[in-house]
Amino acid sequence: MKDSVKSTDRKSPPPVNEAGEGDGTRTFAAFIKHLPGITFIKDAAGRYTFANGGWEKLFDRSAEDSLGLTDFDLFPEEMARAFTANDALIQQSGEARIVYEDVLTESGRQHMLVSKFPIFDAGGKVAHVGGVAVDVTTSRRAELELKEREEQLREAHERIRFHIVNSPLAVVEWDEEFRVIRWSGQAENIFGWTEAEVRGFHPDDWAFVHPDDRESVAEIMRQLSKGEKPRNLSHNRNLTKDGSVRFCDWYNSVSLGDNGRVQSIFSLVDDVTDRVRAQKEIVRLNTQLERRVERRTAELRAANAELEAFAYSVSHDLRAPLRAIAGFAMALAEHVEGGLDDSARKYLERIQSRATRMGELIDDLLQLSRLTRTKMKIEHLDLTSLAEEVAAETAQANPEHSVVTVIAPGMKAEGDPSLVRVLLQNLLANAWKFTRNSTEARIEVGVRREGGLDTFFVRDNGVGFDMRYVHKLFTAFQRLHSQAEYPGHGVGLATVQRVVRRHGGSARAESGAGAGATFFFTLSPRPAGESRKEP
Amino acid sequence: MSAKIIMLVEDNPDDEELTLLALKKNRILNEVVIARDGAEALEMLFGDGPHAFPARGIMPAVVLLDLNLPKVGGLEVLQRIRREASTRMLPVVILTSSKEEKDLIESYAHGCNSYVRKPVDFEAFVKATRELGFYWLLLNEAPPRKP
Repeated sequence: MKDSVKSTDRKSPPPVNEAGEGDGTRTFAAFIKHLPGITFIKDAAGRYTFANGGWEKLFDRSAEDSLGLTDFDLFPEEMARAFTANDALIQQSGEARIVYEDVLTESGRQHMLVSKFPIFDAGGKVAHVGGVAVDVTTSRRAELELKEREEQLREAHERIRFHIVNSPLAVVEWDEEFRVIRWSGQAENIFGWTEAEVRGFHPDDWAFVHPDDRESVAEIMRQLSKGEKPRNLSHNRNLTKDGSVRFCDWYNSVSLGDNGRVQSIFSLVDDVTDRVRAQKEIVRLNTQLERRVERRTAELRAANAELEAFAYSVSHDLRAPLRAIAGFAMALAEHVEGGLDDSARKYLERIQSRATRMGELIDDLLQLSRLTRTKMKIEHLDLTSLAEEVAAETAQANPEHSVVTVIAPGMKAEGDPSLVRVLLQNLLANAWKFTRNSTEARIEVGVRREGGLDTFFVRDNGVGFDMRYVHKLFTAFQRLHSQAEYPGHGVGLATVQRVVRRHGGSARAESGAGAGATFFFTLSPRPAGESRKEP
Repeated sequence: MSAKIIMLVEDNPDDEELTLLALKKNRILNEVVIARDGAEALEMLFGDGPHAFPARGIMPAVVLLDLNLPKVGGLEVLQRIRREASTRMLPVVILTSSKEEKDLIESYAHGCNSYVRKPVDFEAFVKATRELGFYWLLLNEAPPRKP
């Protein structure tokens, strides 16, 4: 194809080199050839009829060998298309044009500014297209780079603008005299003033800084505008357009000009009002809470002191008249010994015995209140040996009544030793008392795991109690058996209850009448999440 | 009779009479000197009145001291007794209603010789009084008198 084009087309149009006749033409041809620029001529079919030295240099090929060939024969298709497209424009319009053409050579892409122009034949038709090209690669590259930089700058500017617009922080820019240059939308949201309202104003020109913070803010501004500090932070109050107070953190930084002088000041403003108010509220609530705790503690202390005084008074003052009643009743009995009949003597005896009993009740009451008044010392307790000791003491105090005791080994607990001892004394004495009529009395002390807690128990095979009255069991001076049957004051289990409660534990009892009783107790609070089951 | 004098410091007339009755029932017939409050007790022990012990040249063999007293409390009287050279070794028995631990501890801390709680049951009180008299008036060797 290429060859055929070459052979057929070579003859037809006379190349300018050969056609030139006379000195003028030769001189002109020599000029053209040695011109540092690039020139060429193609015929109407796009075949090169002339190319100068510049052309040869650019494309690194000889002009002579290229004559009669087209761009498609010589160059890559992309380039050839671009060249011939421009040529076609000239042929069609018959006018000269200046176009850019890119040339791909071994040294890279070169930009050519090409002046293409028509050469007419005698008939006025475009017979040839001529071209003069200048390598503008360097300036073109610079131009493109400039364009690219401008684009980057525009993008950067856009990005900054985006951040300013979308930032939760307000952005304010001041000139070197601290007059507003820029005032972001968020600044408008926080402070209420629009940019138009404040532009050109100094913060002192309008009611912007809280009067009490003016001095500190003035110092902050002085440091910045004098260039003493490149950046600083101000925490101050500002006033909004509607006069309300906002707490703001101002992050300021100085922008210096080429001359090293302060050009503008850039401020980011964080409205921390809510945070400041919340913190103040926390402090206020804490103080309030502390005061309340103090007051409660004082009240509690006063109540305790009052209880103490009351108990003391009961101990001293309530017993004295009882002593007098009992004592004088006896004195009377002796005084009129002969003159008393049996019933009169019995009355006097009764006065004495009841007064004595009331004295005991008062003592029990005092002991019960002492359980709540005394300080606790929590220690590791060997509950097994404590129970063994108490059981031995109880057995000794009731020699007429034989009981089989079974005490589980290895029982451990945390508690106040003297209080827990009182607890065991009461439970065991109770068990002893209510097994008095059992033929084979048996008392068991043990432990089992319930709801994550060690639950201790004292079980007897005595008379038991009626479960219908179980709720009265742990209440002071409540008794479920008659005085004649099982004497007592009704404080034993109330004592147990108090000891257990002071340890944070709980107590409960189970029984079927005549089938013995079991008393359960714990000495520590129920773990969180466990549902509370009142005994 | 015996020169051993019992000093009773008691403000309650009932208790005073019951104590005297109890002593009588036990046939303790020693002289009993009664002070009806703490100030009177101090006056008797340290004052210069004609009926005060210093003027009589004698000291009681035992002081039965109530704690709850008007004017000057029992513990204060006890403290004073232990502070003065003339009474430092005087046996003092606290005789009171209270079984409060606090009272017991403070009484012993201030140097009482024993602590007896007055029971409501008169029979028991008589028994306690007997034991007190038996110990402090018969068994106990009094400290040597000061020259």
